[in-house]
Amino acid sequence: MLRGSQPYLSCGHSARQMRRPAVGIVGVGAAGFKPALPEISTRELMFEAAALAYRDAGIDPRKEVDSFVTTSEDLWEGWSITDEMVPDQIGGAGRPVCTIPGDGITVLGNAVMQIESGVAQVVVLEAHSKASDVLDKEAVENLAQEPSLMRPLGMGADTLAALEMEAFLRLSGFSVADCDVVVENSRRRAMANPLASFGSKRRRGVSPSSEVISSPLRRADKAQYADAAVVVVLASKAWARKTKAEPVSVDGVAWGSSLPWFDGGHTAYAEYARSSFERAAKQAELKRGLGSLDLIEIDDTYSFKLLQHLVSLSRDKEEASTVLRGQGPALNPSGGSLAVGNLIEASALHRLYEAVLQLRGEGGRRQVKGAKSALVQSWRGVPTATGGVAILSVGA
Amino acid sequence: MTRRRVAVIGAGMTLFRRRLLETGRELSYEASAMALDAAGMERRDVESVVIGTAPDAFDGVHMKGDYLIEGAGGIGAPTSRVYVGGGTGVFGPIGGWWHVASGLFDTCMVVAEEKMSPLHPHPQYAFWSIFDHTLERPLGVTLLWIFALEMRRYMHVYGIKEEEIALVAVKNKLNALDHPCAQLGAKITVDDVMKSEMIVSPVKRLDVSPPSDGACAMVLASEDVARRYTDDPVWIDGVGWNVDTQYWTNRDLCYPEYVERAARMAYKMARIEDPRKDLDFAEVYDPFDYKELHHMEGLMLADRGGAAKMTREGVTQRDGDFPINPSGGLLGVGNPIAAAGLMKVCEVFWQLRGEAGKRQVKKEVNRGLAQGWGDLLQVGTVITLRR
Repeated sequence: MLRGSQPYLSCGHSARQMRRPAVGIVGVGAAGFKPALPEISTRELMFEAAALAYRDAGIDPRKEVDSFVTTSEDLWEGWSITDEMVPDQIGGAGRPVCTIPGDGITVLGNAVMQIESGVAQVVVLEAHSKASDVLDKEAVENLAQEPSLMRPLGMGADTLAALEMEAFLRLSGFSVADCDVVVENSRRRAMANPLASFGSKRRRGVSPSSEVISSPLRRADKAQYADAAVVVVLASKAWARKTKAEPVSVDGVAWGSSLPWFDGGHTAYAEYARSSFERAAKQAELKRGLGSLDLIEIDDTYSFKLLQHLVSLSRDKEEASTVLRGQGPALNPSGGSLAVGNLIEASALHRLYEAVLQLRGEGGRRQVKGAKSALVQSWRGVPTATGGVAILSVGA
Repeated sequence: MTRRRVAVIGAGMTLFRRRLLETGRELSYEASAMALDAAGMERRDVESVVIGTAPDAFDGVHMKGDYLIEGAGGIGAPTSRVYVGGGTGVFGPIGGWWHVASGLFDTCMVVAEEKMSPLHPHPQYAFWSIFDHTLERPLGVTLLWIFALEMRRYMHVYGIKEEEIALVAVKNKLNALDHPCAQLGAKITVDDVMKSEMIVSPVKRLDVSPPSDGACAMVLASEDVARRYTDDPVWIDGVGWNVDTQYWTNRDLCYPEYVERAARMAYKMARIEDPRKDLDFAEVYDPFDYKELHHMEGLMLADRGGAAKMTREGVTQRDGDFPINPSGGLLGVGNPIAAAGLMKVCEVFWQLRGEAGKRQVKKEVNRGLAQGWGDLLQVGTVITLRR
């Protein structure tokens, strides 16, 4: 069953009143960002990103961090109980450390709640990808499918994505040519991003020779895996005031899961993205939807997902079209996953990292002029309908 | 500081068995439905969900948290999976606590599930890959080996005999006879334990908890919401967690420092100065019988090396001065890893409400503790509850 009704935000926020968190980002660090990093281990990658983040925040992790929250999944890591291997290289040994295997925005949300509950003042978030160590990535992807009814059908993750793409294009009015534009724009933006490995100046869309993985999905529509680690230091506003830090404010954060399309969920839009946006926007008191923002970093694990996610965050087709025409908030100035690579669990934190750099005016050649507010949206990948939204600002 | 009071208002639990026919999703559904019934709530009343489940290799499902969302009632309610190895079950309600205490949510359903039986030829195979791939896996080390090392070290440092440790297995399996969901309740003797199959010296078959399938769930609520549903809320008043270095060979295994650090964090929050006096009973993590003693000491419920004496003197019996594991623990009720930890928190809830039936401890209880442990001998999770 394909469900395509109500593709745009059609009414006011349904979520209950939630206040804006008194939490900000006081440090970020990133390392790796290559298709393969055979010369360093996962732990070394994490250490590098953590050291950069702690230097950026000006903190000693052994003394000034109350809690560490990491994200990773056993089968990507090649470890059972993979949470056991995270504390040492981020300075967390002998301290409150936990793993939230999930989307990076979910991890951010849990860190925000730790601070808001009063159990911590400073929380470190860590996520990484060492996908190049995984010999058979498709096997890992496919093990995420429900084992009794779905896995025996023998569909790979890309086949499921292709079916969703077909349905989305049919219901939304977008075309394969629109996906070409998404890919072209991402690769062009990648040329200005030193962390992006998949840049190209080609201006004629996707090459006709791009392999069809499962029609209509082509190799070029899918972000290639890459290695990276990202660490974010989060603190209460009270801590930031005391230490005279200038945080990037987390104005809203929300996450959620909806029914995957093959279980009866929507294909014309992503319910998880929409409901998360509604709740985050309510916290952030966003008045004009996407028009309130200077930049948005949204998930583009597949080219059509960027379009689907954009539709889900927009009030109407005009708003989505405005953004695509480059007349609204800057769309994926980092180039997104199609440019930087699929960083698995680190994808969402990379988008957050990019937003923080932009809001601090540290975006280099890709800096969005005068950026004061940003939205980050994420998706966990096939076969999930799980994702989140965070809204950030500076100078409020 | 915006901390709000958080109450437990309902709990549910499936059978714990070696091979259940239900899928992981179905087990999660059954436990959460029971918890909702107990709380007098419906699914739509739940604003957020926390899932606890341990190695993905057990179920053979990648991103197991997402797989369980439908069964746990997480479609449409923001869901998080928390993961600290064997400490996950007790950590689940800690994660649920910060959902509600933060003010972001008024209610949270905590669900813990483990289905160990799908892994062939034996669930222990999931533990082969918990070791460092470069330094330890080439040695062919297994989880049971390192437990044996820890048990040996504990016995050596404090001069404790295997027979004294076996008393824990005898007590817990006997307690489990009164638990309607228990897998291995039994009336056994110290002699039975001593004569049971040697696995890795000094660990014998009856020193160890079994592999199990099962699920537990509990409903947490803010004070305002809790008072709308019950006159008898049980409050979470302390939470603590701590993860030590992964390099377990670099510390003295005779004492779990990480458990002490987690306990101190929880005691500080709960304003517990003397846990032996301020608490009335405890559900202590007991995947092996010696671990109950080890953890009692880490929790500062016994002096270092003194837990065996308390056990020998009957202090930890259900009708003793300080009951330990009145549920029957993992040794008796079963050990579906994450679900086993949450079972302990459920037991504290039921005991404090006087709803533990034949397992109800004799003395009046107002305050209890549950503790989890996990990873490579490195995680401590502690939660304290009070009426």
